[in-house]
Amino acid sequence: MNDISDDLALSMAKNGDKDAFGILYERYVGRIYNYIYYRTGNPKEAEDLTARVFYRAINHIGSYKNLGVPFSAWLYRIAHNLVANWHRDRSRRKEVPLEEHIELRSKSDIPETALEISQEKEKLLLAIRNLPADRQEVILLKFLDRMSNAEIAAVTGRSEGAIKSLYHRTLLALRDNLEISA
Amino acid sequence: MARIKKEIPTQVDPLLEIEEQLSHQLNPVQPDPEFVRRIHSKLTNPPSVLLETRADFTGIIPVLGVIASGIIFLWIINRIRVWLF
Repeated sequence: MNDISDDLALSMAKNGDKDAFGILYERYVGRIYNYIYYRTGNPKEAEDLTARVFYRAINHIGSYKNLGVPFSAWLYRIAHNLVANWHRDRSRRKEVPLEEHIELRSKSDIPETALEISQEKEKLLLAIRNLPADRQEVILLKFLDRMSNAEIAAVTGRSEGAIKSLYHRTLLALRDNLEISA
Repeated sequence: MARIKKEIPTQVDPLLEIEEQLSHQLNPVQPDPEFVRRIHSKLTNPPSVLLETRADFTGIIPVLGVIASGIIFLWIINRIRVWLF
């Protein structure tokens, strides 16, 4: 049953087949977790929000309409909304920078070259973190999920041209952020 | 007319450098397999819904009755004392 297509699994899940939804979950949990992990910078929050994405998805799968976009786009929309809510709630409380969460290993445990890579990564993550949410999203979908501009457009509800332009502006902003931090 | 060839700068496009950096540094992370299993199990075998019953207040009723009776009794005594004196 695991090799059935997304469309078939979706239609079975819509009819209440929980095992079919389980197949979709297995296929997409890693991607959704990654997206949330890099958007929140916190593994525990990423687990919590990932779980909530799939609970929400299973509760609303009956009303899912196939509009020609991949199922993953729908999951990413849910994840996007939950992360946005999470950031809004969090902005009312104390903020903890991303670099405090990602690559939290003690620097003394890391060899010198690895330490340099780790510091470089921290700078990059901080620069990404300083971008507006829509730009962070474009970067993560492109480089973590290897999505094309058309796929990102489907996820974000924008046109392909708008994504191309946004991506270019994002790279410029990222370059500026990295130059400032250097 | 002789065309003057412009020298192409050998400097690497900084945006390409950033793209390369992003490709190398943004690596997918694996969620904890135990977490993945736990959520899968919850999604495919949801627990049956338990309806909470209302809290049982029957034990409190006699106590409240005694307190209310005491208050009424004291109020009546007080009124009688006002009428008499």
